[in-house]
Amino acid sequence: MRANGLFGILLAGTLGMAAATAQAQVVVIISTKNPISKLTADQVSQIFLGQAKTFYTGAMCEPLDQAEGSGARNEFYQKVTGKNAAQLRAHWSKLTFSGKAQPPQALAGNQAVVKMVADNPKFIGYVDKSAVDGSVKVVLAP
Amino acid sequence: MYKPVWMTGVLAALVGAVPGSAQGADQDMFKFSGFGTFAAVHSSEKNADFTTNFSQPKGPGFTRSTDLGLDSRLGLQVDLRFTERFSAVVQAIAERRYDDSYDPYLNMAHLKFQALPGLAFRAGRIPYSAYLISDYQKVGYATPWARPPVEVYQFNPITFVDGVDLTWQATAGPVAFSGQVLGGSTMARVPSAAGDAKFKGDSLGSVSVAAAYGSATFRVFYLQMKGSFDSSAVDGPAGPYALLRTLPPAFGGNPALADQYQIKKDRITYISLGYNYDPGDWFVMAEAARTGGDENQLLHTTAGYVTGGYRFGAWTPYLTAGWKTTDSPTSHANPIVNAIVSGQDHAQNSVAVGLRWDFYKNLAAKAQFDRVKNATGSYGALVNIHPGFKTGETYNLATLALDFVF
Repeated sequence: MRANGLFGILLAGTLGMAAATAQAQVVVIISTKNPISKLTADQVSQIFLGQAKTFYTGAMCEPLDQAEGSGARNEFYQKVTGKNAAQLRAHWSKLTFSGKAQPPQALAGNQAVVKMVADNPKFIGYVDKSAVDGSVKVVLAP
Repeated sequence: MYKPVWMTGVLAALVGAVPGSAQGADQDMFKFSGFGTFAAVHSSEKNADFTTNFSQPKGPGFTRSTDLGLDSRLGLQVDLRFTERFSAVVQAIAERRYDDSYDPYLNMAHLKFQALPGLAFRAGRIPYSAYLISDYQKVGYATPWARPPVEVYQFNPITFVDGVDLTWQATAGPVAFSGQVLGGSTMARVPSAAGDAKFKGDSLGSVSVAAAYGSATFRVFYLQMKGSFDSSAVDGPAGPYALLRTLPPAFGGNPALADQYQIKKDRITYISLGYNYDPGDWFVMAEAARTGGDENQLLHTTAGYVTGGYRFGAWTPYLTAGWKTTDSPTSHANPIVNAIVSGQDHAQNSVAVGLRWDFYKNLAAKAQFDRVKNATGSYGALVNIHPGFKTGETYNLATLALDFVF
């Protein structure tokens, strides 16, 4: 996490504006039908790592992933949980092979996540900021 | 080949029972996955074999200096999702077993009913989690090391319980709690020179609570069971208990000592405390465990380890220090009891350095070097003790492992 941050700063310093615009910004979204307006990084981390099965309100929740290897996914987990892709696979290996939990279902791309989250207040996802429309609301910008 | 065929039948029946996968449901109805390890372990001890648990009859050392079977295994798992609330999981593992075969066995086979989002009931064969990583200790990819620290993880050959449990998860602000209450029975076959030998745990009950706060996890565990060691050789007419019950006192006969030392439905307890801190770039983990109870010859042990590592991209060097002490008596004035309890000391300590390399998706390579010191009078983690073996000495292990998941 720290190494990536340092790399980001060096890159930005070297390439200036080009690096800044290439850097996508991932945001966490829920349906506008969900009454929650804000979540902390801890709460979002608990949900996506399988430690919390409900929102803090007690309402059922289900996280949605993006495809493995996608930029949004890597950025989201690095920022919110501090885990890289290999650490995340090790994490889910623990839960899967001890029969405790299955990883979130993965959808292909920002649009698919926005569409699914918009329809049902139980879902929570992360997308690039540019993909957010009126059907969903941003509860965390990590 | 009886068991593998039977196992294939179970898996095939499960696959056949599901008409198709992902029929528009939220998640796949059927999921097949697996894990495994290929490992080579070399030991510098020539007069005894190193093992990672007491259900293994041999390992590197006396039998052969480099062993490809000790830490190698393959696990296959089928997850079924019937409805939002009902699911099932079956996991079979092939690894070196008590009889030196690699016959697969069922490590998990249970139904799960998710009563509430954070509350589930399970029934069937459920993972046994005496220690922090017990319920996935066979999954090399999920752990930092070539093998779990033997001081804590070696003594117990049990990996599952047949019974029912309740698991819950709840959050209180930044703290995520989880817990398990489990009841049932268990059984583990162990090597025997003649006939059958197995450890049985009846009337087993356990409770665990874990709290995760940010990057830190703390876990406590308690288990109690009625343990029996059933062995056709030890319990037989030529065994030590028959001698204690039948010989005249002048020759060591003493029926009261037979009742005291024979392990039949004796209360056994496990207590463990575990701590894990993993903020991303580095991790530390520590555990302390105590085995005790009413029986008089299984080991009453106290053990622990501390481990830590730093992640340099795909490279994770790590360091582990472990210790184990025994406080059961290992000698007795009665010559027959003395023969039973002598050689039962497994006190040792060790230091391991290793390197994990996540070189490709779902693959990790590990190299580990262990320096193990047996306590005076102790065999430590060694079996197949041969003439020339000296207790209280040091030996080295070198391990290369490849872990995968799919």
